[in-house]
Amino acid sequence: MKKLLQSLFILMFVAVTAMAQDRTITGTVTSVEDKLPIPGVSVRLKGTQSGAVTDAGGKYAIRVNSNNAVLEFSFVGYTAQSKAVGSSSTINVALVGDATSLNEVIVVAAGLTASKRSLGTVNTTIKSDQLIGAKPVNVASGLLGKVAGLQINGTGGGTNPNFRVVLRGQRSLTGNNEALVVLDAVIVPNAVLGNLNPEDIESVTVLNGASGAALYGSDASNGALIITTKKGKQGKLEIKAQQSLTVEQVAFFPKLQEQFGGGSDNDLKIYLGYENQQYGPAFDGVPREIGLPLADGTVKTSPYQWGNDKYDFWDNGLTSQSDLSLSSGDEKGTLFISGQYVDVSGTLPKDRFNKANVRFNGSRNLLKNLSTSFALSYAQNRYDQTTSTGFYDQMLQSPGNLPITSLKDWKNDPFADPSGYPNAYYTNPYFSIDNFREKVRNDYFTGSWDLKYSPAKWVDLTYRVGFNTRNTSGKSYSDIYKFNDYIKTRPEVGAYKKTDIVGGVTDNSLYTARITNEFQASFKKTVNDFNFNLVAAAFLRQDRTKSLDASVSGLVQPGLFNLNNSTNTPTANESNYLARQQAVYGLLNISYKNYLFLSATARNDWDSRLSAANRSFFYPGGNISFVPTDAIPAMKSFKALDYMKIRAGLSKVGLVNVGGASNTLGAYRLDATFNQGSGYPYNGLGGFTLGNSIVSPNITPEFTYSFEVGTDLSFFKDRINAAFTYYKTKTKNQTVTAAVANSSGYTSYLLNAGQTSSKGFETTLAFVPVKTSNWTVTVAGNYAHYNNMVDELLAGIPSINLSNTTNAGSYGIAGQPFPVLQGRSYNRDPQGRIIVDRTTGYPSGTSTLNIFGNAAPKDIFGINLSATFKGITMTALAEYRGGYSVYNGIGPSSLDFSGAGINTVAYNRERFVIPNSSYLDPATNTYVQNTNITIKDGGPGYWTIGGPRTNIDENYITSGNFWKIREITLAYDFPKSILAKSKFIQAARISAQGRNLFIFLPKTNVYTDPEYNSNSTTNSGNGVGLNGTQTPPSRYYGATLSLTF
Amino acid sequence: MVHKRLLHVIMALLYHLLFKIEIMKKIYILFFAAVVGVSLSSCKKYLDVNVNPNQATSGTPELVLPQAITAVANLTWGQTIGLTNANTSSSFNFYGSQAVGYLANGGGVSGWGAIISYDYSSTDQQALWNNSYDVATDIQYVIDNTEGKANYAQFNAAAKVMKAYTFQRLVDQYGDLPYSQALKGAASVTPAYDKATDIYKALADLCDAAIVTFKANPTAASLFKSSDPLFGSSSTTTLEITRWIKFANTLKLRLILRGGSKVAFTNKTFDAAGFLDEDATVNPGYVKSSGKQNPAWNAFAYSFAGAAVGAGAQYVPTPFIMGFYNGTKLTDPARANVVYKSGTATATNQLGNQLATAGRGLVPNSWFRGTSSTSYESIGIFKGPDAAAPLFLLADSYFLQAEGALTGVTTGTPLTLFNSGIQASFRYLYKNSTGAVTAGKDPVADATAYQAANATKYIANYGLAVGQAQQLEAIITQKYIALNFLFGDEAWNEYRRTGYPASNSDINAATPAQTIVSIAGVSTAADKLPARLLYPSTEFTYNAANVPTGINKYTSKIFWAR
Repeated sequence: MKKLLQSLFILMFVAVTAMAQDRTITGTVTSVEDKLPIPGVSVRLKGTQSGAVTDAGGKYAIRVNSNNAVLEFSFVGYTAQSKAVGSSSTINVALVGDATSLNEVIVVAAGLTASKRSLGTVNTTIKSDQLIGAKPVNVASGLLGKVAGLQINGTGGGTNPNFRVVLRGQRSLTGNNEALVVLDAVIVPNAVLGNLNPEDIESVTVLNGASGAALYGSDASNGALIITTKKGKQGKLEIKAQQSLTVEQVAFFPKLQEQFGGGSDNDLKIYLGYENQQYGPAFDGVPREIGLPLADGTVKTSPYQWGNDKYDFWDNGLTSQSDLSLSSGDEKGTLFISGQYVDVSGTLPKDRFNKANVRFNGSRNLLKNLSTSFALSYAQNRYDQTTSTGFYDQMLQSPGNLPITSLKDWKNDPFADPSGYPNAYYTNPYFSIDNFREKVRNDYFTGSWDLKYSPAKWVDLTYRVGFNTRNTSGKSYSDIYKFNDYIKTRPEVGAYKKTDIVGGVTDNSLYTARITNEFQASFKKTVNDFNFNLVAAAFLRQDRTKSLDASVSGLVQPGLFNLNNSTNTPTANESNYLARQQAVYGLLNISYKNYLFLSATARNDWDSRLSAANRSFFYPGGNISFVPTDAIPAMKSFKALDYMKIRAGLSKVGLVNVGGASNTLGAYRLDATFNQGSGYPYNGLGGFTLGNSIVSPNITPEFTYSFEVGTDLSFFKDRINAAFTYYKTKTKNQTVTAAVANSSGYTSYLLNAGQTSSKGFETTLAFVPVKTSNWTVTVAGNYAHYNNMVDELLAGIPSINLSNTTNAGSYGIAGQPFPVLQGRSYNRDPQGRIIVDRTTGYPSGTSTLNIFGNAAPKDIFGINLSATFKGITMTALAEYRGGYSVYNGIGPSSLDFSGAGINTVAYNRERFVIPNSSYLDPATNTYVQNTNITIKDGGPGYWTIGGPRTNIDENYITSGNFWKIREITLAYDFPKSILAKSKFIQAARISAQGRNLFIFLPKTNVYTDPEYNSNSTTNSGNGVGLNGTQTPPSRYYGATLSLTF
Repeated sequence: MVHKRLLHVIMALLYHLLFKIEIMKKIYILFFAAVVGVSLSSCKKYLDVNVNPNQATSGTPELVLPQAITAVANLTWGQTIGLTNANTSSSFNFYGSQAVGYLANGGGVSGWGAIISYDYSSTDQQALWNNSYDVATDIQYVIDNTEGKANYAQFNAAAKVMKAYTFQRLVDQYGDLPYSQALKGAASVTPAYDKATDIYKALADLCDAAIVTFKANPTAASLFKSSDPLFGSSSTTTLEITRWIKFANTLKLRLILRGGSKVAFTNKTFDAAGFLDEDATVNPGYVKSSGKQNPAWNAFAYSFAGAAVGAGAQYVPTPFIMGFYNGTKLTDPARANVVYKSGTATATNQLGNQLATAGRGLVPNSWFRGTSSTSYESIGIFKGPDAAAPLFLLADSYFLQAEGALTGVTTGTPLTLFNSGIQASFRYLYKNSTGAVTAGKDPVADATAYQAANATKYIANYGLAVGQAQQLEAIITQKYIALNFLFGDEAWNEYRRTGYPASNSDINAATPAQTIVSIAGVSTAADKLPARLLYPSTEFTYNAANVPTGINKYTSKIFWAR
């Protein structure tokens, strides 16, 4: 892409003159980095006006009249070189990339390109090798820790985890806060990130703020990820093949107690072989009966000791990733074809996932001034997995002595059969895996096509169409299972063994499509020292979704999973969504002497989701960039400083926030709705109930006003690079779905209310301490500090619950950081001591919620280390997040109620005095330090009970801080000298890589990886800071062989 | 200087671009026409795509009222709007039943929390509040959209009766609550609280207003008849309206007896139409199908697909209630054999007992007369997936009338009304899913035999009761037996108001059959019981300025309580 653009640049602006000389020197100009020829390089005879330009193959020919002549080779993005001609007639030159990168051309907003020098806003470009060094299956995970201000969180485990990508923290209270994703100049849904082949990516440019992204329209207030896919390279056929194998392991288990087995009696450690709770006696290794006797009286025994089954239940997953790509091109056009197949087996037994991608990218110069390019990608994935959830919880709800992994054969082993399975309250997980399953297919097609007409060298007209569609169908099913009559009559067993599984089928299908159309006219003009570039454009976008699902419960014939195989009538649902946007926008860039740049943008949107009166909204922006090292002669003499750039940007961006396609109400939320009441229709008569949402009639867009200022610096011939950015934003007139008191008759209220603000800074420092012919060592760090606040909410709406829970949850509260955790705390006396009951010793929880600090990190620090010695490259990446709290949802039930957690043995299951507690002395009516009143039960009577323990959310709120070693890679490039013998292998690389390797947590966090968020689906996922019981995140190790032909 | 020069250059450039270059003119015209055309001319049509294809955006009283009546009935067992499956955690009957000694935790299950400790938090039972207000919104919609419309007069009156019924239930658990400012949506998202006594007065006024309207429109319009799952199946259009009037009268009687002298009722007289003379039951067409089953059956017996509901087997009756059947306090094998799965042999447990002595629940539950979702007796409490849901029992009506006659609020003979109440209880329990008395069962004969067998006990033989206290105890105790696991909340209200049936608060001295108190209870009240529910956490979070503070779950009694 870069070279293509560079050639265009050259063709437009360089007058080609080759004058006759005495003898001809020929040669090829290549790039040191990729050894490929560079077309369009200016070759000039020093001291003269004569010169030449390299052709598509990087070849040039120039006539010189003297052996003393010196040739100067220069090209944008490369360091210029001079070569004395001497007596040779062939001079080949390898140009070194201009690492100062100030002149590097990158793709910016609206598919336009600009040199980094001219950009007035912060941007970071991640190149392919940085992105995919550790062989991530998902693009988002490849960006982790690499960009200041970019925060990525996994939302749940599984074979294809989702990621939430947020720049500069959250601004919108209940609206979308995820960065806009732009693929080859077309805005695409965030879901595309998970289905894009990372190997296809040439670069990802991150525009942190709204200023840089404003031209993309209303979604740009969250910043943007601009993804450019690989294009064919001119003059060369290159085939690349690659194979990776990656092992996945469950990482980061909570800390568990390994002392006590099954039992549930208050105060007495009595062994109960069928219990899920682990409040029995201490392990002693003596064989004991587990579970209930079978109908024939036989009973299973097992040594009463800790087994590793809770850990061993999880499989080692294996991911195989095969890639093949082909790239070629000539002066008329380029072609890039790639394919990838990924096959994943997950950590949960029998979970399978596979994904196949193909991509065709191409470009063609149709006429001298007419060119076209296209990018087509088809991806499909298939899941075959269990629908049963909560295996993680289930492991924790099993005593440590229960030999779970020996009970796989539930069809033949009577003790593994659900009726005979020892745990009376939780079923055999291997049965759940087999009996509750789903198959899901997703097909994605993404395409873009553009046509560029340049009737004169100062005008370009571009038409671009983008299309993105997803087709999904899935079937989930469960088979019939009947518990035997014997076990149903046993009084000991829980409800699940008394309830037959009747079987059922759900079929669903979903279709989504987005079409964008864009027409751009770009005009360039140079007047003296001024360069002008004006772009005017019109844009249309349409999003459409349709989903259908039907389900039956109760099968007739076991094993036949079809909607018609049921004893009952199917139920069906349908939803449709259609939204349209149109916009006109303009951009004016003015540069003065290539060191002062001014850019102004303006955009007007019309959005169908708002009422006719409110649907048009306008927002302008502007930014300025100044390179004093070029402008001020005195600074040029300061040798240590290669360059300095000062930038500033100011913008306003509107965001329509009434929900999108994922919330099909989005387009239709302005009207109150009526739904069929529970059970209706009856006997052919309908019955309506009012919807529970109040809607303000005049919803208008919310506007983000942002300001940023920063500088980029380079010292000592690029050995030190630094960037600093300070930003400040205000998002006003937020569209909020506020929960309201049920006594108002409704539960939520959609209205414009409130304002959030954020300020913070982003710094990047890259340092090359060693750079010799054999060695290069680079250390790069990035640090971002966030300060996001809720400034105000509308009167009467004291807080906004972002996580749809009434207990501990993530909230937006006026005057507090955004978001904050709220939950119940201990009732405390005025001195802050926990008040306990004078007789029971039990503490109690408040009925109101208290604030427990912000739920999103305030500080994120990433550090990259890269060392190259000859052909060996090692990289390591670590990330720190700090300054926030998390609520560990795994605590109350999975760890405390079950008795599996390490906290429950803090006092060895004996009665104890609640530390730092007091009680009310009725005689004096004062609080007295409690030194002797122990809680009345040190076992399940305390740890499992809501009032004194599990309903007090404070117990489960911990610091969210962590350090993580995210990536380590080690790669070896085979020397060219060896490869040359093979004749056809151009490059070969073998590498080993690990991801998500280690985590370092504060001592109080005995729970889980704070990075994983359980709250991905509710309220647009802004309710961060809550961990659930989903499968924990994984650790990956792998190896890759890559060959280029 | 630079500014001026810049401006000049820009202007020159624009002029140059837009007008000067002849060969490009056409392209510009085309382009700008496209931009302007797209953005303006077709704008409106292109963007007007917001007609909701998924949900209705308007409704009518005839669509909302039947749903609202059904939803009110469903509150008893907790099956409400938005829930495909009934949910005992939002069930008035279920909450009241565990508080008043109808059911206890079964053995083998742990994690009971506040149900046995009485240590309620603001999230306990909050669905009672939330779902009631949700239903009330629908009722209010009908009232607001029918007020003053002649053809909707009966809708308006029926909605007022349902509103009175719904709010009476709420006041009885929470006391003061938002009423006059409630249900107003955006106009009042933080509604102020009204005094419980003022709400009681307003509810009685609603009943009066409804009666006036019904009397002025004594023949049910066909639209109303088809929208009335409560009395719509009455044989004639006039009988239907008469029953509505009687229902409103009986509801008002309950309000006046309970509110007593503490409420300044506007009008304490009753319409001549009299009181309910038939069980008031709602049946919109319950059927064994997803989400359409009888709410009690769905919540506690079997799913539509025939699977036993897990929760049902976790509970057992208490020895206290069983004492009214097994001879400990009274002998009543006839009713025990329709109410309990194994009659008086059904395992029991004292609330809060979690030791091995705790009786275990049966599948699907200990009150179910039958062995599977297809093999059952269609009698007692769980009559079938298609049975009607009770809204007001005839037995309750008779016992209210008996108390009214006893205290002079109404006329009549307490003894006759007392005996009629017992017969009505037998009759309701003997009814099958179609509402007919099961063949071979004779409620009057069995009731008579019951009273004869317990002739020495004044709580079954009203004639033996001496003085108003014993007479009231007999009435309320028989009501307690009649409401067993049907209206636990009503029994709990009456217990808190009258202290009947007698329960020993000293649980160390009492046998399990003598007390309704949980042995795991931590109540600090004299009677060792909770006094009320706490306001739900949503009120603390979203209506903090108005929600009363200082409420104590053990000592802050509802205004009518003893």
